[in-house]
Amino acid sequence: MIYPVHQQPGAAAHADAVAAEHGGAAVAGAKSRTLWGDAFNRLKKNKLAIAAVVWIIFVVIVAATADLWVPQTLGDPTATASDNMAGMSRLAPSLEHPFGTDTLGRDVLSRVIYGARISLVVGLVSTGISTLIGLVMGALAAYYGGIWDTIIMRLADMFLAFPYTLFVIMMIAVIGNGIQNVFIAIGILGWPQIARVFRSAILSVKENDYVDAARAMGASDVRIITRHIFPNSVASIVVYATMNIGGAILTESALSYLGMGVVPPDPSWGTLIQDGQQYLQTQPWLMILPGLAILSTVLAFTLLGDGLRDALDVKMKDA
Amino acid sequence: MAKHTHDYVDLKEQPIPEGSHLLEVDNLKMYFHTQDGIVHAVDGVSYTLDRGETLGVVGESGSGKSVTAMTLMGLIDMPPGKIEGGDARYRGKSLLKMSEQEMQHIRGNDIAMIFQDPMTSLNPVYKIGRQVGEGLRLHRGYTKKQALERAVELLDLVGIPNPEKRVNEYPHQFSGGMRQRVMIAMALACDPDILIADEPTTALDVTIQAQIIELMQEMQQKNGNAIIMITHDLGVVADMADKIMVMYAGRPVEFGTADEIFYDSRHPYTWGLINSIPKQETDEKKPLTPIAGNPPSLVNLPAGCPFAPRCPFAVDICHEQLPEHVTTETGHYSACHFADDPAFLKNAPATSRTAGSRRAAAEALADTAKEA
Amino acid sequence: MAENTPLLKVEHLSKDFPAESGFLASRLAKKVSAVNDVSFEIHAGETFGLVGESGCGKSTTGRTIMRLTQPTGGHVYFEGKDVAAMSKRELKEMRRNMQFIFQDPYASLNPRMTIGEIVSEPMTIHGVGTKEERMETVRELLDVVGLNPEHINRYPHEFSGGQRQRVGIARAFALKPKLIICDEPVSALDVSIQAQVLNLLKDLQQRYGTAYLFIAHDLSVVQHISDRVAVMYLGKMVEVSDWKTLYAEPHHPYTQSLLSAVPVPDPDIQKSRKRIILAGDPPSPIDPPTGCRFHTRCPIAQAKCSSDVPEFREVKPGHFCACHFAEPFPIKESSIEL
Repeated sequence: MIYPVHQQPGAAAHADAVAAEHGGAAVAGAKSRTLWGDAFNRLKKNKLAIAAVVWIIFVVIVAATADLWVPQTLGDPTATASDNMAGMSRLAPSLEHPFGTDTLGRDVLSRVIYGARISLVVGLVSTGISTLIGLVMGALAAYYGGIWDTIIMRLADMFLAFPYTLFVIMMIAVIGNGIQNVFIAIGILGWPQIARVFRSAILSVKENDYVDAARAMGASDVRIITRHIFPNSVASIVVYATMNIGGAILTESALSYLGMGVVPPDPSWGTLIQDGQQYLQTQPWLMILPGLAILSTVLAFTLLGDGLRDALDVKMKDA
Repeated sequence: MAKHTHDYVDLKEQPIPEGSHLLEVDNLKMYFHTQDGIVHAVDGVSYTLDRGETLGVVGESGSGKSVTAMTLMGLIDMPPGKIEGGDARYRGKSLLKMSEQEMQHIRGNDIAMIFQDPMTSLNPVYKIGRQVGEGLRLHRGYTKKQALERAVELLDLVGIPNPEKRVNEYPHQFSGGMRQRVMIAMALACDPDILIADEPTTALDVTIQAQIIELMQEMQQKNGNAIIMITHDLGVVADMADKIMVMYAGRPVEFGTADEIFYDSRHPYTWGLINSIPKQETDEKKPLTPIAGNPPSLVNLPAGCPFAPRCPFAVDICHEQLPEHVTTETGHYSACHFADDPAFLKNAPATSRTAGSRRAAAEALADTAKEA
Repeated sequence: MAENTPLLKVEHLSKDFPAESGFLASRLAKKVSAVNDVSFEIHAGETFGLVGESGCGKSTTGRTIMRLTQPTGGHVYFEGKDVAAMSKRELKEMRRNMQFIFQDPYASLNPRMTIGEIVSEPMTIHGVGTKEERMETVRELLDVVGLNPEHINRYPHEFSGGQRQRVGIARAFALKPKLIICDEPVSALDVSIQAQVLNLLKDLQQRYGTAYLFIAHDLSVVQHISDRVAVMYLGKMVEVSDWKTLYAEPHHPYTQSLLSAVPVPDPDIQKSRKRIILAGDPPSPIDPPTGCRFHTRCPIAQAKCSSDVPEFREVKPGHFCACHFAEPFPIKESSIEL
């Protein structure tokens, strides 16, 4: 469509703006609300995001309390059934073993639950590492600009230009297997996206008059960054980091699947899939059920991120 | 998008039915149904318009002046919008009852629209010539070559230098004023009956605004089209309009000829607007008399007259009862309970003409005295 | 400070921006001449209006005075002291006495701070009073600017545009500064709200004796509030005078056309008055015209105008104009007479 008189130029948007303006102007008598409180109220209305939160909390609780009940009810996730291995091997799902058992007669649900511990920890810790590096790098690039900006952003471009998984594999190959190294590898390699998101958020916040207003009042750099720039740019990082947790879980699974992550016999969702894939024809649950665990958890983090993005968008209120 | 069909009867070639006007808007109501409640965006708008006339629609942001025009053009998404009553007839035919296909013939061909922001109303990826000629190809079945030739003529007409060269340029190569000229050329390409201009000069500097207003008036004289000029600037309507509608909170509060609105205004909101504008003075500055308070939310309109909470003259009845239109025999109406009270109307601001007419009256009195 | 030292003195102020950023631009070295050789003075308690069209450099002038951007030439003296030579401490002290009001009431308030935090921030930064004292001052200020002091814990998004602008004004007055630079403070507001804010600014000026540098594109607004008015075109100041003379006898052809282009809300007058409609658009500040920068659009331009830069000369006491052929324009007969 190139002829404007035929278009419907944002009629709906206009209606929203009219509604928002008048809804927003009618403040008399309303109780004061904080922006975070507002965001939480908006998030509550998003059914998908709430479902995601419920799922994540469920997974976290199950994984955190696993030591208290899983070995007792489902069986030890690592110890093999030495007495009757053949009889216990690759049993179909039943009441006793809801997800069945693997080749070595271990309960798969028990292994999925312990695998969740590793996946969640990897997701959180490596995202924490990426976010920390990304925040510092992004802030340096955006606030000081010039040569700092050029160096940091070109470095980030180089990181991003490499196939991500290949890069992690190379790093693991250099620093060796093991769960700590997985944190470090995924954490270090995740910073460029965070840095870019944070940098552009800061740059757009910096354009706002309230930053100039603070400078005109004589505020120091530290005050401007901590009081004005950071609180207004952190929302995008919260959103991005949430989604990044899902990404890190996927990467860890991929690494373990390739045998470069968690060292056996410790369970991880990736190793479970690897173990199960050869029986896809005969005992498909060995692969599909751990796969569903990954899918649902990663999806939950992505949906929560989406929900947070909508909820934290101040512009939606200001339009 | 609808292709030109030869069996289609061009409405603007049809005679206006006896006793009707070119455009008749009659108690039009359009509400948005939103999560927060019902927004009374257009609430009982009435006016008439004939060829060659200019209607100025004045109001502050959120007063419903743009939404009214977009409702006429069928450009409001329904839902959330919904027509709640009234009618809008163009050459005797109801615009509200037309199918989307019929409306596509009307838009651009019979009623064209230009928008406030000339920076975003042109598509950046197409050349100017193509965009100006688009309507002609669509509505008139012009070939590509004919449309381009006509585009050159149109650009020349709206005062763009070197039109042969500039049809092959892209919008970003044009300044804001030049883009607004292109928009006018596009709008006038199919020789529409009505040109709706939604704040066409608000984004422009005053010297450029003067150029654009002059151009719109020139084009109107040449083509005889009607103009609906939507603006917040009383100066612009004083310059252009034959008739003026003043809107507040989705409702028209006063409608009349330019003379009636500026020199015989009968609504306190119109008075408030006039008193809020700093005058160009050369002797003494007069203090401004602003309208107190803020415009109401269109979701929770106060009972009674929507202007009552801000009106300095409001009495009990204003807060309780919605005023009817008080209409004079010339069609000048005012939505105020006291619009026909001569004592109340003395509160209207002084104008250059009341000063002049007082002077004239005094002179006439002196003359009759002399004769006697 | 001597009695007749101006509060603010701007001398030959210039500001160039690089035309493009990126490594190619540095080689081309094109510059946008946003402000060029601008000089004026503001005295305590007066309102100095700065008017011009978009891109004429009026906002850049204000921001450069406030040191939000560094000037590329010239000097700014605040209470007789060169701002460029000030130490960090002196600069902070100056900012206590010079505040800013912004155009956009939406972008100029931090959405994550309460009204109380926003209005008290200047006092916090300059360490004025205890927290309780500051909040007491904030309540007083909110009351003075016509907001409900009870709303101290609300956030900006809960207010309308006009109310937010009042918050911005309260913030600017928090330290009782000597000068406030108002950058288009009413142009984002509706007419009825605009008049409220203009009246408020006048009241506050009377109450606190603050001087204003009032920057706007709307001539009627500038005339209404200012004691003296300067007109800028393409980075240059073309005319300065007291408000009455400027509007009654504009000398510069640009001022004349600007005045005549503003439509008057009175059809009789609007249809009868003289109008000069300038042709074309303002030229780009990247490569401004030689000689007088206005000569490309000037109705009375002659050969001399494209070669010689006109001197900013005093045509009458206190009335300066930068035109080779400045003549008073009889605008009187076409202005409003009641």
